[in-house]
Amino acid sequence: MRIRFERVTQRYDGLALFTDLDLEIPSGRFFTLLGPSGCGKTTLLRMLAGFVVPDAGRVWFGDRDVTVLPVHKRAIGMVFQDYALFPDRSALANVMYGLLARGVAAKEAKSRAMAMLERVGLGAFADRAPATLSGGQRQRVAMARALVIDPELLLLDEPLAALDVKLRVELRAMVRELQLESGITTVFVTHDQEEALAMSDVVAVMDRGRIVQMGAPQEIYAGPVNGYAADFLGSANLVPSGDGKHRVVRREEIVIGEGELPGVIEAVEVRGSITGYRVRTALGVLHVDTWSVQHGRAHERGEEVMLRIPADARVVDGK
Amino acid sequence: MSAILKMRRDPAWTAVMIAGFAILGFFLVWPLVTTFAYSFRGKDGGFGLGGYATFFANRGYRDSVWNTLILGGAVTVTSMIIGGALAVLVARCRFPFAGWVAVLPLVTLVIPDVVVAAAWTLILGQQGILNAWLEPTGLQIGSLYSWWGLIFVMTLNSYVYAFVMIYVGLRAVDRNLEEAAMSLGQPLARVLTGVTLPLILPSIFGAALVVFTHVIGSFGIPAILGPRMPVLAVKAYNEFVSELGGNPQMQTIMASLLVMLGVAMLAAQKLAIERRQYQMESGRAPAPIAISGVPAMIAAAGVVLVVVLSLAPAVVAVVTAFTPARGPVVNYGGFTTVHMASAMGKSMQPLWNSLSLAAVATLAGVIFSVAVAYLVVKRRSALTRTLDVMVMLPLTIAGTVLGIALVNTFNTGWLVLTGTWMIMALAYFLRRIPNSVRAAEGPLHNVRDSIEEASVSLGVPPLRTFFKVVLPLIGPAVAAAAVLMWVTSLSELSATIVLYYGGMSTMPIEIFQQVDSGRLALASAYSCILMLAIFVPLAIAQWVFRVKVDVAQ
Repeated sequence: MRIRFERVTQRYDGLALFTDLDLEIPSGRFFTLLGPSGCGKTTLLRMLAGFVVPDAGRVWFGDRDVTVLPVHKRAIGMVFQDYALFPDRSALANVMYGLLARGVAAKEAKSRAMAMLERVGLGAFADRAPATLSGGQRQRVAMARALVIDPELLLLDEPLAALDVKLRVELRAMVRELQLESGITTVFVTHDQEEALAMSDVVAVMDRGRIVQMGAPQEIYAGPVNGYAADFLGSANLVPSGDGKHRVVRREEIVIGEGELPGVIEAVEVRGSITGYRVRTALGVLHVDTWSVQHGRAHERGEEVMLRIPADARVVDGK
Repeated sequence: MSAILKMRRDPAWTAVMIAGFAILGFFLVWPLVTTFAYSFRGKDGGFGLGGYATFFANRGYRDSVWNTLILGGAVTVTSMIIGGALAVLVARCRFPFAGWVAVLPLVTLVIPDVVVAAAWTLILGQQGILNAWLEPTGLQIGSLYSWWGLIFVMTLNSYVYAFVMIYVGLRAVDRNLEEAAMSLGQPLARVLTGVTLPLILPSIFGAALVVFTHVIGSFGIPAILGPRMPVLAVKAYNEFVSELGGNPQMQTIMASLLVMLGVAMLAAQKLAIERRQYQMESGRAPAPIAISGVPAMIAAAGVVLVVVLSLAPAVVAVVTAFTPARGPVVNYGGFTTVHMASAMGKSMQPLWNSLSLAAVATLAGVIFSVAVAYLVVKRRSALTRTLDVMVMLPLTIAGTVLGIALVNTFNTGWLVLTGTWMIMALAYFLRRIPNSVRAAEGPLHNVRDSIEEASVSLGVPPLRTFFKVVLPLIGPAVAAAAVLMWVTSLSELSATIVLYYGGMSTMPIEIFQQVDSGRLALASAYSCILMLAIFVPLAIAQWVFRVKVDVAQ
């Protein structure tokens, strides 16, 4: 189902959050709204759910105008950051909840819910109360609860933010897999650029109520349209190139140890597979990422090195 | 604009809100407004202060204002001292018998005002137990029907509120704050006055307000012990029932003054607390320090004394109920079941009346309170905040005042309630909703919005979501509030005394009348039956259904 925001305006405490925003979300794709807190991404998601009604403009689900349609009449599945499981119901009862609300017979609801729990790897935990499950398990139950009702639209509100790093990586793969299997149009909200790039078909980078750039992960990572997008996705170096413009140079694009730009290493940060350097040069402070192992010789703090910046780097406006 | 839009998208709860405003507006605000308006009516029928001029020109009326202020002030001070000291001792020190305070809230619930007054008459009255003991020595204690007697008994009936509120405030102080202050080199005494005291000031002001409004609104004890220094609540009642048909405007003036006093106190407390309201991280409370030797003995003796004095009325009532007596003269040492048998025979109708009125009021009150609490917590807007303030209004209104206002408003017109059981149930309902709403609000704050949103997003409409998801989660707290509402309605006297009519007498009314006519032993027998009727459901709720009933609510 194709989703469309049409000239949506929303004010919050007298301040305009969106003004005449247009946005189209392609059918069956994993679409991510990426931006810092306060950029409006969650409000857009809540408009799709129906919890927020825009002050002006329309929201379309395919050919249906759903702008003022109540939440419970939209066929959506939603996953919340704090899991929002019903604490007095078992994992199975949580997953059955939406089915029973739709009038599915108890027996069928149970078998469908059970199948979904097994799909997310929690078949053995069906009778457990949410309080006895780990954070990752709870989020899987929440995912199963949202998907079991075969929603037209899946809404994910920072569902991985409350989990620790390892679980997050594991779960995001599962979420993506589930989405690909079901082919449900999915809108995902996050402030984590790695998550956004790893999971999405399309990423929309947001800044203060505007969509700054939208495209496939590879496309926007390689070709940020401005300094903000470049910086938010992968913390690029912005090298001044005269008349207020900058060249976007990705950290891993800079070669260290050879080249024509001299610099002094100010800090070394070993992050596992990647080693980062902070280098002071005539063009300003540059961040350089290198493979920790492949790289022949590690450099030290205070060492003078030569750098090479690729000549074909993209030029963007401002910062 | 957006608030209205929001409401249109939420028709079910909007309807509930309109119903809430309608009920409170019609049954609470309207009677109060008409009472106020009547008190300000001049001779020509327009606005005038003539009534108030007449009122304050009359020594008797003037004195009743003073008596009210003196009693309110004095009992607030004594209750804060006793309740506060007890709270500090128990919250911060460990000593023998400290655990005894746990029974105090229950004791307060189970022993109605009117029983307390009757029992202390039996103990300290002219022909009371104490004077009988002192007789051989030729000594006699001063009259109980005096300021000291009134203040003494009122204090015993009020300090528990101060104790519970200050205790809760003290236990909410995060120990890390005190430890941080001490780690910065401050001695403990300075920490307690400089760090802890400011943090519990809101509790202290809150406790003082509750005690003061409780005292100026109480009827049973001042009516029985204070005929020589009538307070407003008692005087208004006397005028109301006067055969000579006392001046009706004077009644409304007394009622208005009591309401103004209550509202003024509430405003003063709000002002005092406003700038002192801190958002405290709820951490662990400081551990009580073990004390020993003489301080521990003094503390233990204090706790035991307070508990014994609080329990004494129940014990005296039980003993007296089985003691031969002739009028007010009770012959202790003897045994008889005459009073009990007589009470059993005659109390069934009033007991039934009390139970059924309380049940009706509780049923209505629980539904109303849960609905209003939900609106206040989960549908925050200027309108629901107004509703919240309106719901708290009865806290500042003496039962007698509410009774008079209701009787006068609903005795004519298209809805006549005066002289029906409904007006009594209505008064119980109104008097208890502030506490019930607060009790329901607490657990609602703990139900995260996302849980409801999850249910709605799964296709369950908002109102059904409330019943399926929210209600089960707040159920236990609501049950506790219901039990509390029911048992406190059983001992309601101050509004009932104005509202009851032949055939609709309640247990507290019967006890009050027996005391009034000097049949103290019979009053004790009635008291035993009433206390049992309160204690049994409380005990069942607390120990069988594990419902935590808490007077602090």
